[in-house]
Amino acid sequence: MDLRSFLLRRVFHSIFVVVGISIVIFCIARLVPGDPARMALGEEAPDEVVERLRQEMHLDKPIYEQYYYWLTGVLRGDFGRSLVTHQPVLQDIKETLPATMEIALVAGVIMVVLSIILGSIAAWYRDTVIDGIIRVMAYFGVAIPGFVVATVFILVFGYYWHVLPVLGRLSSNISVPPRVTGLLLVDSLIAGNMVAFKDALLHLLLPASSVAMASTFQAARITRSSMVDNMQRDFVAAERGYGIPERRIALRYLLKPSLIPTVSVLGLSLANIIETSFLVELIFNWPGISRYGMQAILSKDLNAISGVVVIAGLGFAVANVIVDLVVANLDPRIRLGGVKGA
Amino acid sequence: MTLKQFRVSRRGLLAGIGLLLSVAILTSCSSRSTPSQTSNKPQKEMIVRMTQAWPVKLDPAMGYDNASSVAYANLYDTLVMVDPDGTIKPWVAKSWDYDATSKTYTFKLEKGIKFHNGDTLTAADVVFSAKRMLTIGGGWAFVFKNVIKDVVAEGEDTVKFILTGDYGPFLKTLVHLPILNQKQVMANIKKDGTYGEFGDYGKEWLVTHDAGSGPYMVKEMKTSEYLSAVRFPDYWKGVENGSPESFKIIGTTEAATVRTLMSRKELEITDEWQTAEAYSKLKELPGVKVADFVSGGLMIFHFNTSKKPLDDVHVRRALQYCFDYDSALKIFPGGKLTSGPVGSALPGYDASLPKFRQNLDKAREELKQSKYKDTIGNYEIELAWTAEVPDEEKVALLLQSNAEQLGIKIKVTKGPWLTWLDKVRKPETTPHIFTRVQTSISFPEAGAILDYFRSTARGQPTNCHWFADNVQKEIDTLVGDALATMDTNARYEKYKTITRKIVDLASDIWVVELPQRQAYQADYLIWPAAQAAEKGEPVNTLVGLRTYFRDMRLVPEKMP
Repeated sequence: MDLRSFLLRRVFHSIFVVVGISIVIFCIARLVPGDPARMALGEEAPDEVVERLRQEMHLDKPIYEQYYYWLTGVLRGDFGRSLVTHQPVLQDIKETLPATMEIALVAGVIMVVLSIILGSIAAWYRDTVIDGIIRVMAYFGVAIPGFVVATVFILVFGYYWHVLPVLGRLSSNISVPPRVTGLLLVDSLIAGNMVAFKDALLHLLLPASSVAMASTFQAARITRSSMVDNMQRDFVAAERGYGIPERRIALRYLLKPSLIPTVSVLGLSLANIIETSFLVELIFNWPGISRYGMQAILSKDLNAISGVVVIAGLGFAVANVIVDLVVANLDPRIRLGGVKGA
Repeated sequence: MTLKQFRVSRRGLLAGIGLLLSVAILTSCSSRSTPSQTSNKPQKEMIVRMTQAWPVKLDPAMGYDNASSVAYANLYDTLVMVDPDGTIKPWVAKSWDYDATSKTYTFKLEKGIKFHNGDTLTAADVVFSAKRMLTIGGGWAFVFKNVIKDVVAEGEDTVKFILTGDYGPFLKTLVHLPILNQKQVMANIKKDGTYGEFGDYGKEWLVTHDAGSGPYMVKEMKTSEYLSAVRFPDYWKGVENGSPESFKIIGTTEAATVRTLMSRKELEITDEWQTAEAYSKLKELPGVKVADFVSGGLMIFHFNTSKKPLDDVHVRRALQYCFDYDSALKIFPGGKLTSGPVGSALPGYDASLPKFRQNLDKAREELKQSKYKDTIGNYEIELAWTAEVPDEEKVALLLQSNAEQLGIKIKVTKGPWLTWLDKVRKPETTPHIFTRVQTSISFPEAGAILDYFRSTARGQPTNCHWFADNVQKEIDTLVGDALATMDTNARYEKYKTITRKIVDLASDIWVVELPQRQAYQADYLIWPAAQAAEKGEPVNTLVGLRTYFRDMRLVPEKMP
């Protein structure tokens, strides 16, 4: 199978997945008790005003008709208007998505680097004290939720040590670089504003580390396990037999095949950030899409819920494709098998 | 291209990661302190930052929560102002009179008031603002519903409000009618809106902009993060020396974040949604004080009087008497015992009523008089509390435990606010007991609370009592008559009569009078409302007016 066919097939599947998710969420959001119009206007708003808003939102129509209105709007690039922010949902998404993507990017770097290093060390020194320490750390890291880590980080680095900022994306005294991508790290580099770059990076460290913690340790455990398995393989014994130094075996021949399960786990963890980082975003007052989505759910902001779910679904689908490509790149059996059509 | 050909250079990947990490480490290490500390700001920033539950709404026709009320009070002007003791003073309106025959208030406006964009405020702007709010119907519009019949401008500086009938507290309600710049709003409407020639009435534009003439103007509104506003240099009342040059409302109430910011002096005032434990920790920080604003807010158990066995007043009174109010006070530090539906801070409060206290003997006596005295054990009473307000669970469990002593079984149910909002709309779906925290007061006198007992509020969380029709009719008549009384003292006397009537009905357990608590940096922020609260002096019951940044003073030499 060539790359184009592979990609087309994945995109085709992804469209079904995203449409399916949108239908399910659209229905669930409307079936949950609570009148979104009443919620938006307040408990004491006159009934006629609430009714008018319900009509504007087509909430007086059957659910399939509501979905038709929503879907035709989405196809025109109109996700409707948020009941909470009163802005078009698409605009809200444009404002909030880059903030979460920025966390995901930095968290991704942390996850990849730390998980590989920790996993490799644990595997190399397997069944020693070092391995034991890393494994215990990994148990804690996996078990402690991100928001707890975030709270601890705030207290340690913000409350006791005062070394890192704990609120928002940029300090109030730093000028915001002109928006190009919405990613402050990138925009500040484009603008050549290194002060803003540094400030944005410092603001990112705690939220990104909090989000990355569990997945990092999970991936480290998987890397260790995979490396330990591969160490027993014949090809490693053969390489030793040829007299290749252990260090070279580990770095050149052992690490690469051992990373295949790690990549899958990390890729999906990164894609999950939109859905799972809302508490961390709340704690750091981070204006991301995860927090926006959670606020939408709590306020029964129907258009916003559907918009965020579609974006999260798309993100997940794209991440899956990327993971497949990276795994194919790492594993020759997949590439060669694909070429042969097996 | 095949998958085999699609390869990422490993060295390239590693080099990229390495580069990013190096930049991260270098930039982090080169900083010995946080950016706010290393900034090249020339002077101390004269800013007051406060946290609040999000979102803040800048459009007066959309918000009525505390955060939005703070924004309105500081970004907009109103016709009149209300002092902490409840007296009304001229503001944009320099004088007014009321014609009882035509039920018309005529206001004479100050001349030369400028909006933030330089336009002059005229009577047409007042008319536009009132009609806009009534048409959109959100925010505080409910206060004016069935009260204002029409609003007309006469010339540049005269506005007439024609009422549907006499309405005593009308002037006080005007603090909820911020004046918008008509020209500016109309220049920014979206034509495809639902309000005919007014398009969307500027709703979208007002999400991120203000159109006011208040002492501060919006600098930046990040709808998912914060509101930042700066002092309006041409404010018609003048600029006060030492008052904050800017304020920022930050959208978080997270305890760890708030505490950290307060400890670093990066936050001047906290929100009022912290737990008792959080406030006690905040108090321990150097220079931080906690202000307890007793402003008429109450924690309440509403009884559904249409459901058995709560349809019997004796059962309701038994529950009132069995409740342990003193233990509830320990749950809410700074709280006060109650004597009825009206909080002690509100004019028209009846100070002669006795405070509620636990009295199990009286509770048993009441139960004996009940028609359910022999069968009370057969009923399971549902007590609902709102998941978003965790403190409600504590008092719900307290009542459950107290009621057990009388043999009354209570089942405590937790649910999201949205669910209860729906359920209380019908008597059969309204739980036996519904827990609610009363925070917002629509106008500063007892009538604002008593108004909730009218049938106009029936089916809302504020009135889910489902009184028998004759009882409801009587309350409607009494409250309607009181609100239509133009003489203030006479009106207050009528409020007292109604309060006694409602206490007699035992429609609720008024658990505790709740203070709204906010921590602030007392060593460098002079906040008159907080100081008044500390001295036990009257404090404005309206949260927006209490948080009027223009009245505050920053002491630069004491600032960090």
